Amino acid sequence: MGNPIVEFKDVVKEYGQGEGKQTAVNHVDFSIEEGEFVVILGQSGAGKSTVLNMLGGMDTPTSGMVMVDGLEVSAMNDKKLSDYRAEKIGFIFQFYNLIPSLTAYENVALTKSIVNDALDPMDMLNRVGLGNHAKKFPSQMSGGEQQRVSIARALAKNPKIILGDEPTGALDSETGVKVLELLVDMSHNYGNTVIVVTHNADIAKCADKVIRMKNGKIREIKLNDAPIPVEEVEW
Amino acid sequence: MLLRKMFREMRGNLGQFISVMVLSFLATFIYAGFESNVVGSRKAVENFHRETNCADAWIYSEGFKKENLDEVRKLDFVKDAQFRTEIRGTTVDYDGAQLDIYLMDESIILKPYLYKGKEGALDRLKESKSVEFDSEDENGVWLNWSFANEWNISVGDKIKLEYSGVKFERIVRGLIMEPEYEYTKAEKDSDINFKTLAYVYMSYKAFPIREYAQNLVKSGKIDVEKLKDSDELIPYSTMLVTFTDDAKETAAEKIKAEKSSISEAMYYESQISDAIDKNYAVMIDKDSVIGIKRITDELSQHDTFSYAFAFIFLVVAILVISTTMSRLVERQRTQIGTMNALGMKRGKVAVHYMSYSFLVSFVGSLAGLIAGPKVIGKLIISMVMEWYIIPDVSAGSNVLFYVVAAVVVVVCVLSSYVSCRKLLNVPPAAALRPAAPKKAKRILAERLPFWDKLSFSTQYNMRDVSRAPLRAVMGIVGTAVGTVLVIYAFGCYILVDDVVDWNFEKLQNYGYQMALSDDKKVEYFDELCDEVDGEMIMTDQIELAKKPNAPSMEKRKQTITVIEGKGLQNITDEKTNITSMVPGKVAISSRLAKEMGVEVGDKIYWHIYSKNDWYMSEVGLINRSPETAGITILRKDFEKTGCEYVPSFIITKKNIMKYDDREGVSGVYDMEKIKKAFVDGYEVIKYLFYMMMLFSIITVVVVLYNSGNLSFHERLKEFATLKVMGLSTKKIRRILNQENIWFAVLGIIVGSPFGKPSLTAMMNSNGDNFDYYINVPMYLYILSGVFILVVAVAVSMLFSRKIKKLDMVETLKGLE
Repeated sequence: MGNPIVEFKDVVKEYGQGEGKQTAVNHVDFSIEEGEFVVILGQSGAGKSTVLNMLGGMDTPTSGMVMVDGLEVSAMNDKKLSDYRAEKIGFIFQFYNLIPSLTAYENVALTKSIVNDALDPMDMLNRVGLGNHAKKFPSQMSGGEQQRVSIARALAKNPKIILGDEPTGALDSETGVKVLELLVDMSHNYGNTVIVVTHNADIAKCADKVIRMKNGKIREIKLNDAPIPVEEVEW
Repeated sequence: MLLRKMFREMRGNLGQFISVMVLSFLATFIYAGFESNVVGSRKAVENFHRETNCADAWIYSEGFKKENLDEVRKLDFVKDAQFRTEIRGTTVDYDGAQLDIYLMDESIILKPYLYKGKEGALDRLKESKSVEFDSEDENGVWLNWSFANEWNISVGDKIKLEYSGVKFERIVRGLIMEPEYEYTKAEKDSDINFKTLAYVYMSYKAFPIREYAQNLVKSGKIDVEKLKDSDELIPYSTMLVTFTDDAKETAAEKIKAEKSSISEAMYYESQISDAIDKNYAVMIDKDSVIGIKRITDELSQHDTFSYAFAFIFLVVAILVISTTMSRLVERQRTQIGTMNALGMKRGKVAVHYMSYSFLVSFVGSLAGLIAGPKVIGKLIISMVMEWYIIPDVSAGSNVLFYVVAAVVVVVCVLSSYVSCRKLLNVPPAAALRPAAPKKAKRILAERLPFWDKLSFSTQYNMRDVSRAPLRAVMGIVGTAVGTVLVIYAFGCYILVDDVVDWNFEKLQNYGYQMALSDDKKVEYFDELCDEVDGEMIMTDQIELAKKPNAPSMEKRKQTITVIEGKGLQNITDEKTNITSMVPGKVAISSRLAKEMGVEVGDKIYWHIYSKNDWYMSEVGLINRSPETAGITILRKDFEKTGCEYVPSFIITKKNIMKYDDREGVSGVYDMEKIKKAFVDGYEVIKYLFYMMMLFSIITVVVVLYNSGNLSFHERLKEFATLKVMGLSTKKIRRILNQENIWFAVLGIIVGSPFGKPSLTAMMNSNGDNFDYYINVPMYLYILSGVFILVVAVAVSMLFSRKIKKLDMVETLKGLE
């Protein structure tokens, strides 16, 4: 484990105004070390996705500070946020969000238009085990395969942090395990910091750190001294 | 509840629904606008003809006998018949304006339409109290209202007239309008100028017969002995005939049965011919009277435009509504599934989605139906009436207006039904799940050797186009229509300068014109012509055919122009370059030649309207003139035929304005003034320019905005994903703009070839006389293309803000 790469300091996120005002994230503090595999756990409406969005530079806090790799993300303007997302973050979505009109290879190669030092798309596809699916379009692949392309796409930017929003949420358990294995592998063997948001408590068993959220607040931060291997996870 | 849902969702897709509304509006607006002019004008023409008892046939002769009229009146298919004498003189005080004199001893056919004015009006002219024509009046004339209006002449004023060297003064008894002069221009003019053409109705008793006879004797044109027979001095030159309604119906049925193209009036020519012992030169119907036919042609042209424009905008509206509704319905997949799962019948769901397009197309069409006649109808009528004299014209309407508006609504509703039908057939359980992503497949362009070298945005957009072909078609067709309209607009704009240059720089190589009266011998005018270094021109109405003794339907009524070949009156070829006559042969105008199927080397047969003898000539040249159709012949060749040479003008470069008082000269004209009047008249065409530019901009903006909007919404999630991945707003904007620019460029390429033919068709559909050489130079195509591109880029810019403000979190949160 290394130095903190992510720091949330007294972060608040509110939506709406007046009587309709809702606090999605309520004075949240936590930090994440470089290379950790972190699971943010919580039920629907707990505020976990809001945390992930602020971390990913897609949303800004109402107050407080979000620091990532020494940069104050919460103070960035649109242009800087765009650069930040390009260089630091790899995002994996629940519904993959691949570009339907691009092949698997092209979806990954898309990163070349975003960053200058993108990794070789074919290497990334091979890494997720889809080297032989490079020419397929998303509609020609299963959900699990699409999610693996999505991971390859995230990896191709060589980001410091990979964010996953319910990355196994749309997959069956067998496929979900495979995707989870990849994410753990990225963290433990390639040194990427992987942060996954989920409501599935079983996934938390294989995480280095688990942040439990409820009603916008952190209920518990737990370091997992002995995470179980992914193949033993059941859900 | 569903209504509330509809309004809320329409607010969310305001851009697209406004587009559909605008297009529905435009389709009916343009149709109703153009058509209200057609319906209103036709009705006014019909009323005008009915009130004046317009003739069905005009029969010309060198001189009818009184019994000819009785014989014709006896024919059972003839309702009425009347004689008159047509002679041409000039006015004395009004810049020598042309004067057409109609002498009558009764006025039962082509009765003058009286302009009575308003009682107590401050304007002297507007309070004029015209009285009915009186064949016993020895001192009065009935003058055309258009001329009186230009010169501020009112009832009771005295007017000086001149015919054949005889000057006389008469009192204006009435201001009149007459169907033969619905459209007309003075012989010397290139275009309408109400200041230069007067016509009067007058009794034979008001004609200065004594002075006229003395003048003829003095000039040696007539023998004193002939004076005994006044009928020969002022012969009845025209017989006007109307047919009974039954006769017209019978003729129509027989013509239909015989599959003939002859008119109802001409059907009775042989029987009339027998009744008057063939004592006539030519018989014509309304279609051969240019003054009447021109408005009929013009209204037919507007009729075509109203349907063509309505159709074009309807097609674009269908494309827009299809794509809009498809997208809306696809986005509502789970809602449709939910409604189905809740037990709502499929029909009700379909009606719900059809009601979107019904509402917008209904509102648009209704607004178009109301605004069209009030805006376009009024504008066109005021433009058209710059050229025509028809009383009481106002925008009209008929049941077809409502039918067309209903068609627009029904087509829009049907296209939205087609869009949602597919989804309604999906079982509710399946519809409740998000749709599978659209299937993508390899496209043809991927086989290109340089495919891999294309940028990401190019590859991405090419695939996107292959996934959404209808949107691409909409964008391209819409831009193509816009391009045609812009080329059309620019073409109209430069046409005015082209025609002016053609008429006044190429064809007319002179500065002054002298109108000649017919009271002097040719030798006198020859001397006068030499004196001013001029060239004599004769023009007259002729009838011509491709073969001798051709039936009526194969004869054409046109103009003969006799020139001396001195280079003052030029002749131009089909590309408007100055060329020369072929001695011994005639030139025939290109449009007439095409219609008659005549080529160089063919023979044609012709005769002067008022003369009975036919002549044969060989075609040596096909020439082109913007507004004069007919044949041109050299004087020496004309005289060889034996036909009487009666010069109409002398044209010269010398200033001859002081020759106004010379004997035999009925008027002198400065061509600069005529040119100015011509240019002023054509200024109206520039309104067309503005109208077309406006329609073009609306079409391009609506279509490209809609295409861009649809493209943006269809790829919203993709753009949000790209944004999350860190792709800059600028790059995403570039992707979106690139596609719209492609559509614009392809639309320009597709539309450009149609610009010139449509402009040519429109400009030449005004009547047989018109034969404009439409020149659309390359720079105009480039200018049009640039204009469309600028509009396209401007429309694309509208989306930049949307991409900048794209909420990634909201967009990616759910699928709906």
